[in-house]
Amino acid sequence: MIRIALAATAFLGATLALVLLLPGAGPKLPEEAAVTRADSLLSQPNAAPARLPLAVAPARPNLPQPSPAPRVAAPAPAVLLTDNSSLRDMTNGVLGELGLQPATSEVPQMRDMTANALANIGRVRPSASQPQPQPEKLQALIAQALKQGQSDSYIDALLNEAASRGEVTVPKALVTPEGRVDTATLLANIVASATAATQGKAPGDLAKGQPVGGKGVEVRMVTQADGSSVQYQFYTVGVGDSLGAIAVKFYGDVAKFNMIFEANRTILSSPDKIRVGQRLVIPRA
Amino acid sequence: MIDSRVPEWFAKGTIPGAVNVPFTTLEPTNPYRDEILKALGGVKTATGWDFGAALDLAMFCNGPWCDQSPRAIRNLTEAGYPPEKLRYYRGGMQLWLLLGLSVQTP
Repeated sequence: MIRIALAATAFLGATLALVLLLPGAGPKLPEEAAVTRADSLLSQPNAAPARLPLAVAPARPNLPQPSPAPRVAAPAPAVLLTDNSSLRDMTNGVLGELGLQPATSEVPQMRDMTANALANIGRVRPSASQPQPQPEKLQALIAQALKQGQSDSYIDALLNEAASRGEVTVPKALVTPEGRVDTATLLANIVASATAATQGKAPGDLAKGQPVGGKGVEVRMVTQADGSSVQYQFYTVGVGDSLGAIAVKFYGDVAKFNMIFEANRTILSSPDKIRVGQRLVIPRA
Repeated sequence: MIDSRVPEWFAKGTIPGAVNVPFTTLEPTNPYRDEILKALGGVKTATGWDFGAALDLAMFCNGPWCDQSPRAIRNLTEAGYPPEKLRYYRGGMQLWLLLGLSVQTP
């Protein structure tokens, strides 16, 4: 009996000693396996850092010393953060590859894509989108050349080349007898309009002061049947003249070419069909 | 025959004779979409679009799982394009290549 009591006491003492020596393991016997595994890993945190978060997570609440837990958990958010940023980069990269840019640059890209699609459709179905020469194109051509600061002769050559290829349409009043574009008048008109826009002057002011005279101009007094005399002006078309240029010469305004054209309907079929040597009546402004 | 994929994919190879009209250009958000509808034969009227003379279209994209052609078709029908003029090759490039059919690189 005494032996049994002694054995029980010894057993209890040994158990108590074990419990006191391993305070973390004692009270939670059912989870002993998990805790010991976590412990063993914690004892060498540098040996297997990659596996730590998985192994430690369930055991962490049972650990009496909380200090290792933050140290172990610390790498986790860092990994997530880099993941996030790289994901964003990758998404943007994929979007870029797909031709879908962020909203800021979408509209110009859409325009390009639409233009390409239209060109593709047009190749299959030529009648659908026949490229027609557009007046804006002439404007764009001139505006571009002017922005580049090109010389008048360069613009003249550029416009004539484009017009001869049928890429641009030219106002009829600006066609010379040689079938060229009267770039000088065109540019003068642009300059006059620009000056008018910036300084508030009428477009005609630039040229009006010039005396009407010189080569090709003649003034005749015609006596009419009732005895009154009317002054007529005539102009003989010279090389490089256009109806617009003549209008500028007499009225200081390209837009008034129509007055000359109307007065000469008998010899002109169209404003662009003037010939060198033609004698045009110039009505009074 | 319309390849509704984006130009980058179209350039890598397409079904011979196909025309590239990216599905993004048929979205209602594209400010230039009217031009495409016009090129496809649509006529703008006071109330909407008249697609009486419009082309018959066969659309395809990357494969059966690909959403690009369905989106293009949805956008076209919403714009009033008659559904009987629209066809959809669901197999797309994936099945086309799987069958070993010839591919054209534009």
